[in-house]
Amino acid sequence: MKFNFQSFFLKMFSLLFISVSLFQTDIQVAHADFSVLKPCKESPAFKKRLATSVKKLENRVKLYTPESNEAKFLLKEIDSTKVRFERYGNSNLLCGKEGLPRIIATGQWDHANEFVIPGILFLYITGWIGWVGRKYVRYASTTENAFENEIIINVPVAFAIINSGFLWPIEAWKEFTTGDLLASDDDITVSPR
Amino acid sequence: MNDFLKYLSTAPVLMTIWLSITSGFILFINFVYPDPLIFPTF
Repeated sequence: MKFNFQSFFLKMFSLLFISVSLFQTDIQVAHADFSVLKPCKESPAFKKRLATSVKKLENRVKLYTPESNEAKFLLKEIDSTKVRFERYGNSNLLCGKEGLPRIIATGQWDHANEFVIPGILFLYITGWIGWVGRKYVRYASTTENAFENEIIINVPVAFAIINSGFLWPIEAWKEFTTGDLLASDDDITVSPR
Repeated sequence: MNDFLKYLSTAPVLMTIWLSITSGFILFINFVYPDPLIFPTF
């Protein structure tokens, strides 16, 4: 019997869905206890880091005349350091004992902007890139001169595909349910065994 | 002109142009909004 990935995936997915909805009704996000970490604003080590960073830059400024470009650059650097520390302090970030901010990646919502949202954004953008690439290659394979269309890009068509790619999760799901997303096993070459 | 457009459409040339635009865009974002450790909530 041949292994059909699509029906296997759908079976597993529905099994998971049913078991979760029947037996596991009280799913809770793991709220880890961050007793070792404290908000950066209240962390003395974090404040100390700001002071030493600024101090180091101020010592370097002294080496140059005030009108020099180096001095101007370093003064700008001091300002941006202060802004950075203020922004990290005012955000929801937690700092370790050594005063460095930590990214909480447990998936809980009060720290979603540290990992979950950038992570989803990353997957969305990389998915967009991959999806439009696939779509273009598939378009090229339908043209008369398939090989050339992959080397010399048909820019207007490529742009139209790129711009329509923002809906890729919906399109991908549609293709998955109609069976167009995955190639059938007969089309996959296997080495003789 | 047509040949030149064809040259610009070849994969390596197009890749160079496209990645230059992308990297310029990322440089610009980092210039306007430096040190983004977390996703900003306005």
